[in-house]
Amino acid sequence: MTKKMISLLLAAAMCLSLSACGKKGTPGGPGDNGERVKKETMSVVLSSEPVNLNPQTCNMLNGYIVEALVYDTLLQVGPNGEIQPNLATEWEMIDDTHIRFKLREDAYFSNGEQMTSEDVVFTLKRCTEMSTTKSTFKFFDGENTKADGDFAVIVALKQPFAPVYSFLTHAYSSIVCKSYVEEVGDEVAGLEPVGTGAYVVDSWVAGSSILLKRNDKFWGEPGASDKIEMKVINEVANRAIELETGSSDIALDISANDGARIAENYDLKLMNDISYRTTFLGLNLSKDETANAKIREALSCALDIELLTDVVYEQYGIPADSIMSSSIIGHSPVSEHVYDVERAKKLLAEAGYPNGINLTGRCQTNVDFKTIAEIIQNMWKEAGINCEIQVLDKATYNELGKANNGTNITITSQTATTGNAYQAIGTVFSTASRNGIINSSDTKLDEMIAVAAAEYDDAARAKKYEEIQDYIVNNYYAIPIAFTDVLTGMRNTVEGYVHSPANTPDLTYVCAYE
Amino acid sequence: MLKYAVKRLLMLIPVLLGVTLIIFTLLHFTPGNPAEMLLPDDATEEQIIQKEHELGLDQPFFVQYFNYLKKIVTEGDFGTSYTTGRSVSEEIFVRFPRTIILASASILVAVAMGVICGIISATKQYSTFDHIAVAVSMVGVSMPNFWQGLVNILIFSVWLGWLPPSGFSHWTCWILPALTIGTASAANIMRMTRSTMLEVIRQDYIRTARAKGQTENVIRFQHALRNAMIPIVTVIGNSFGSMLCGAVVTESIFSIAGLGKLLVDSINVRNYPMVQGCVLFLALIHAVVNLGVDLLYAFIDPRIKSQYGGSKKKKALSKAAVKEAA
Amino acid sequence: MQKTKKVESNSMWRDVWKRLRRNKAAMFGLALLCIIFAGALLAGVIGPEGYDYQVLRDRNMPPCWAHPFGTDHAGRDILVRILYGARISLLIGFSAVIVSVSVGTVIGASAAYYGEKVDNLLMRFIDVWMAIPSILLSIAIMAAFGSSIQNLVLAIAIGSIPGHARVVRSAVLSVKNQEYIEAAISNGASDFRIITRYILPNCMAPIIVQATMSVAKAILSASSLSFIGLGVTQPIPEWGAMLSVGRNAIRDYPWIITFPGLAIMTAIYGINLFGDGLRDALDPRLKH
Repeated sequence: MTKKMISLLLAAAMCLSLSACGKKGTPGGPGDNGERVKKETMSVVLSSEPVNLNPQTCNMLNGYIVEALVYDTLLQVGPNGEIQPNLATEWEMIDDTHIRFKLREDAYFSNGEQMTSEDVVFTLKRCTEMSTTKSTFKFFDGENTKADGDFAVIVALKQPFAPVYSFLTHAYSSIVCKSYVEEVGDEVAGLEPVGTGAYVVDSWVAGSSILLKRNDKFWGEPGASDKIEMKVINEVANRAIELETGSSDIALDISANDGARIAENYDLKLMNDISYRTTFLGLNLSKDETANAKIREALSCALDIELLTDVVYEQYGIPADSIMSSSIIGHSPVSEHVYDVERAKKLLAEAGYPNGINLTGRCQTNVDFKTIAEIIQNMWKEAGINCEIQVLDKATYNELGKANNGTNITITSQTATTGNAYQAIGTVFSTASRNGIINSSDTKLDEMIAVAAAEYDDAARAKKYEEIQDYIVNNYYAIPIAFTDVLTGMRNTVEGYVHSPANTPDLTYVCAYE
Repeated sequence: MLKYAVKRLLMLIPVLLGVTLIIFTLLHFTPGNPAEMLLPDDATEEQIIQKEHELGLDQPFFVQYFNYLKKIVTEGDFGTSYTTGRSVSEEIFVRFPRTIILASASILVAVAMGVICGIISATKQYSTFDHIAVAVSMVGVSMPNFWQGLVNILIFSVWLGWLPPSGFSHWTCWILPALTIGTASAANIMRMTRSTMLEVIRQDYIRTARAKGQTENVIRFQHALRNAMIPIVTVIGNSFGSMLCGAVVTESIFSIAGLGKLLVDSINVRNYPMVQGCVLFLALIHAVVNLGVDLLYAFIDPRIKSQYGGSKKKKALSKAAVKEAA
Repeated sequence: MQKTKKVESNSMWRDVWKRLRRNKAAMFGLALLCIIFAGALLAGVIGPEGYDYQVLRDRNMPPCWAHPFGTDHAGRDILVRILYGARISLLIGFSAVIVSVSVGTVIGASAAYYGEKVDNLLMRFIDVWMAIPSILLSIAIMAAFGSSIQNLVLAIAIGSIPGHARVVRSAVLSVKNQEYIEAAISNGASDFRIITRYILPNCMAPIIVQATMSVAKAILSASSLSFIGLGVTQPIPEWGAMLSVGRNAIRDYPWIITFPGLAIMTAIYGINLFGDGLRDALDPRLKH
């Protein structure tokens, strides 16, 4: 009886596996004559579901990836980080705070309407008003941004602001259709987006997948795949398995240990290169202990950053030599980090804690951060630093950052989505920042950041950013840990994929073959 | 019978009111500001206040609770998801079918494995099969769901490559999660089937049937199983209810966008309306399933059907609405 | 009268133990439990450096002589962590049950003893409480109060109080109308005394069985919650939390999830076997 049941089960399982294989073995067209057949639908695995596809209300990387297919921005970032035309064909600076953009006249929204300056003005104004995008676009002057005829726009700034072009490549500034958004409202516009991009949303199964199909009315070169299916799989291990079992063509956000295996797999390839992200420890200047520069230096000395990076990121990360990733224009190696436990102990003693010190810390529930937390706690212990680091969900994490001036230490990372130095330094170090990471009251640093942002000359700006990096790192406001790679796994049959340091790859000209 | 069903349905109202109050209160006082969660990290104080106002979070607690209830009652509106801006009820209904399919597939696995093994065990008591089945069922009960899920992925997806590890697009995706959720209940159902069958087989009327010369199979299925059905159905019904909620962990292992995953994800971003909606909805389904199980008793067992007429005895039957005769 | 009761109950427990000892499965369960208890006690001896001792160059090592269960991503010995984890799991399991049984007993006993309105009120309350599946309630509580061992105990306990209250209530109802209770009442004993001295000792059997099984459930819930990131946090070696970390490396280092999973299973298996045996021993009528 048992034997019978087992054999029955086995038979059933065999049937299943056969049927699964059978399905894959029947391609859609002729493939015998050695010609490769392009897959009708390319399947891409995302790590989370975009909350909506409304450029001015969605602030998720995975949302940007889909938005990049559906919408267009005025400008785009080229392969070497340079600014290239997109919806805007050419532009000129009228004065320090006004820029005139000439728009292309052959762009149509997927609902059939032509894209005009009115839509651009509407979009940029929204960027300065919507609660999500407002702070990012705080130097843009929405009120005074005006149309100049049907196909030109004069963008106004509140003050000279060098990163303006980078900001116009940000997904936040994707051009939406004015009449459509006003007619259907934000909610519908976020679910059934209308843009000028190469793809349109065909269907969206909440929580599991978004299907995009090629936009035939697209103004540029048509997209490479007929359809793109974006599957949402949160579990990092499952994304890799999904790729290995052949259920998907591209999987984003692969973990380091899966990455090594994918690289060895003959059917798969791994795209990995440096990202715009820097992982660092923020040292809170408004807490008694970490307000002391000696203790901050001791914290840095007691860490073996090389070993830490190796353990956490394996071969997919390098020890950081600055607060700003080496892939960002303006990066300069400023850190003079030395691992020296004895020196750390000495510094602690000088600071008045010869018998050790107790500190608090926090980080979000991210696998890498958790590992960093475990390891640095141990490394610090050797120098007599006892740091209790709490791993928290985002909400509690934010709350803890505010209560009692936050915690001494915060493990965090910063990604400059547009690859711009202004974004890379971020608002973390600003005195206006309330997220409890640095809690700086250093107006000198504020001033330095503001001056750098207003400098239009590239060389002069780079010099200023070098000073800023040096100031932050060598005053130990933050301990840089690692510059990490973006890991993307894909089948060998995928073509046209270009690495994106911002982890928002443009999939328009990517396709998969059978 | 109808009166009883209606009465049980009305009983749901105070239950659900209590559930909303408990969950609403709990989540209201959780740390973390939903307005802040929706904004980028560099948001200013002013942006947060603006968002709080948009979401109605600047109102006092009881006003918020009252508004919430009012909307549910008058418009059937459970609120709007903070993260997606979509209606909560819509989001729940999109995901609910997946949870139902998963629970149904699991219950199928559980019943098939549980009842069959239970019957064999009972009819061949103390045989090798019985010993093994009893031991294995105990292991099944003791195995944590999430661990079994991981082991299943490891074996069937990674090593053997037979089944997909995640998703829900194709029916082959359902097998692993159903197996994972189903086995624990299968063990319970098997144990229950076995013990009730054993009890029934000892009854006089079975002995009578045997004496009459009925074949073993007729005895087993016509007489014994039918009478043993009631407790088994209860266990199955309860398992179904708990599967709907128990899918919380399993769904996140297999990346299935069902209600359970929606709930866990929503908790992590403090999406209050969604959490409230999910818990309320699951509690409602749980209660309805229990009601269904109670009503099913009557259908299966004529002895109980006749009791529904009497007002005293029927109360002893309903589990959720037990009211002891003083 | 009190004295005779005591003698009676002593001999009752002796009988129970006798029956229990004959039950091989229950003894096996008890043995497993003893091993886990011993492990928890000996954790300090086997891993004197503590559960957080890392040797970073020895990370992700497969089982070997030095590390029988292998090491994890931070080079910590998994066996040592499992043993320390046994302390945590047992602590959570037993404290949660103690809390829920105590509260459940108070509610259930007062409902049954006072009857009528009190019963009605308490039981309606319990109905509402029970309508929220316990895992959902625990999740909501953990989300509200944050991750810590105390909160985890509380969250699990609160979820299982109504179940205990029901069991106690029906047990109390079954002995409430016995003659010796009436005798005590006529002697003028206080309600508290009657409940604690005469009623509860005579309905211990179902309460104990329910409590034993609850320990298993509590350990399981604790590890489930830790697994979804709502329980205890790193670096405390809770078994569920260990699984949760290990699952990302499930392909390459399967031992990291294998052993903590086996530990949970062994603990629950042991408790279930023992609980089953205990039920049979306490209520011989149920034994076939």
